[in-house]
Amino acid sequence: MKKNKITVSSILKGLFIAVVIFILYLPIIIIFVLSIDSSRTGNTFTGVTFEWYKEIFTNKSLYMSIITSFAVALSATVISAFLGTFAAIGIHALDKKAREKVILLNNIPVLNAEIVTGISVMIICSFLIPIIPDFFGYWTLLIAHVFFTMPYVILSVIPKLNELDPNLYDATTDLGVRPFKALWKIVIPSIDTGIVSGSLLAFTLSIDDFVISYFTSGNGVTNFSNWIYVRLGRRNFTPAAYAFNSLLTIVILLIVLVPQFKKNKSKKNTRSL
Amino acid sequence: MKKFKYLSIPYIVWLFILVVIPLLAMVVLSFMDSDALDLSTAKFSLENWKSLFNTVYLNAFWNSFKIAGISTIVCILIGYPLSYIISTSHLKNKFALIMVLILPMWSNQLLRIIAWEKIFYPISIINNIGLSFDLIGTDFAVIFATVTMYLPFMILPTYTVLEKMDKSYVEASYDLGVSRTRTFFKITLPMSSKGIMSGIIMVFLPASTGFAITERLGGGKIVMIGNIIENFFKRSFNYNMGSMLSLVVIMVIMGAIVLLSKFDKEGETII
Repeated sequence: MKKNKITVSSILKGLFIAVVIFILYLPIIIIFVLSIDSSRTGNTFTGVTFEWYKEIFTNKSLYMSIITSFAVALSATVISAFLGTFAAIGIHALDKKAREKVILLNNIPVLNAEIVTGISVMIICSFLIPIIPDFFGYWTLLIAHVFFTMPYVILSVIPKLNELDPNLYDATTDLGVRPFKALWKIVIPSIDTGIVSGSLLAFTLSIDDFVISYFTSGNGVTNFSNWIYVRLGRRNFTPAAYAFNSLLTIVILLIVLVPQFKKNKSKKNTRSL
Repeated sequence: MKKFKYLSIPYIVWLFILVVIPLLAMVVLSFMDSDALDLSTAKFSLENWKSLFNTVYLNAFWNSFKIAGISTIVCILIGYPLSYIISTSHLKNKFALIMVLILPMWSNQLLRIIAWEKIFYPISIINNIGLSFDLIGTDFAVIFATVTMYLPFMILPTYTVLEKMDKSYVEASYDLGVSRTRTFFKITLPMSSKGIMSGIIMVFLPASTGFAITERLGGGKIVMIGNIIENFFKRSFNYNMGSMLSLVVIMVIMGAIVLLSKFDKEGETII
């Protein structure tokens, strides 16, 4: 194989990848520049400051929205992962025809327009306002987030259940293990990769959600995205939002990429040995 | 494990409450003239559906279709070759490269839109490095931002499919003396069509129904159907018109779902 030969086509390919990466990261670089720009409007660069990073901890409405984002995303992910796994086991156990129908229903929140999903939850929750006056806020956000993240958990778990050997479960129960214990000891450990990838997806979608939360937040409780949206172009917007986002992006880049390069290094080391 | 059937029942009930009931509520609301959700003063009305063919709404539907359509095509033209190059390369760390391409999604989507907004106005922070654009209110700005927003959704499924693909078919084709171009069109492309299909769904659907990008970069000139629905529900509280237009969006998407389910019965295309 002509592995290490540098050709014109390989340079062009590399250049193409580099340009795409540059364009995808340009907004992130701009957000970072805005986070250290001392001008409040962000229309001109007037000097370097770290004031906005300090403001993350002093601006109450901002850090409350950040806390809400994390609280909703974490609780929605845990609930979706737990209930979604059992729902997936139930759906998997259905007959072929019924299963296809339920999966079609399950796909609706995934494929439907976010705006329609948001409005649907808003309408249902509005019916409850006469009973629970201050219903909109954390609980409506949680319902909405569980609603749109659970289908992803189910879609990640079902393929793993299809791969599972049904004899394994039957053998366990034949040996006298109770059904739920068999589920817990045999089935769940075999599908855990599906649960984990579904949960990661759920968390990612939930923490960054804007549209669905836009329709389901209320009574002063909003998440980070909506905190930004309602303040854009207004005086109460603060570049501290850029600062927080830059911090979060850097942390995530480190968490994801450092193990990748470490793995690569250790691979190299073992090879040289 | 068949006895666990009943575990699906609570979930089916939950989906009925949150999918089917709001849908019925929207149907009822779309045939009414009411004060938001207050049904005590509501009257039956066909006016909402009659106004569907108003040029304002038709234009908004057309804009959504056009902008999302062009963005999806651009995403395929950039994303597919990118996935193909990476999956056929001899790089040791292909997965890390894919992660690098996916990671921008973790940065807040609204702030990324604002970042483009900031540099698409003539007076901006990039004046310091001698650049200035005046692109707010152009289709280009909206499509450009849409592509950068949703490109990772095209890269991920196409890369997954290309990486999983059994390479021996391609090698067999080469061995039989078929040219590279012909092999690509006869083998690689058909075998990866499922990935492209899910990429199209994951880009086109959110791109056509979103409203934040046009709200910030459209400069009031480019209006998509999402902007109009948002306006009816959150600003003018006309739930009747909002429901009617939402139903039209749902019908279009339902059509797409039914079409999709013909190809993919277990819902494996989506993830």
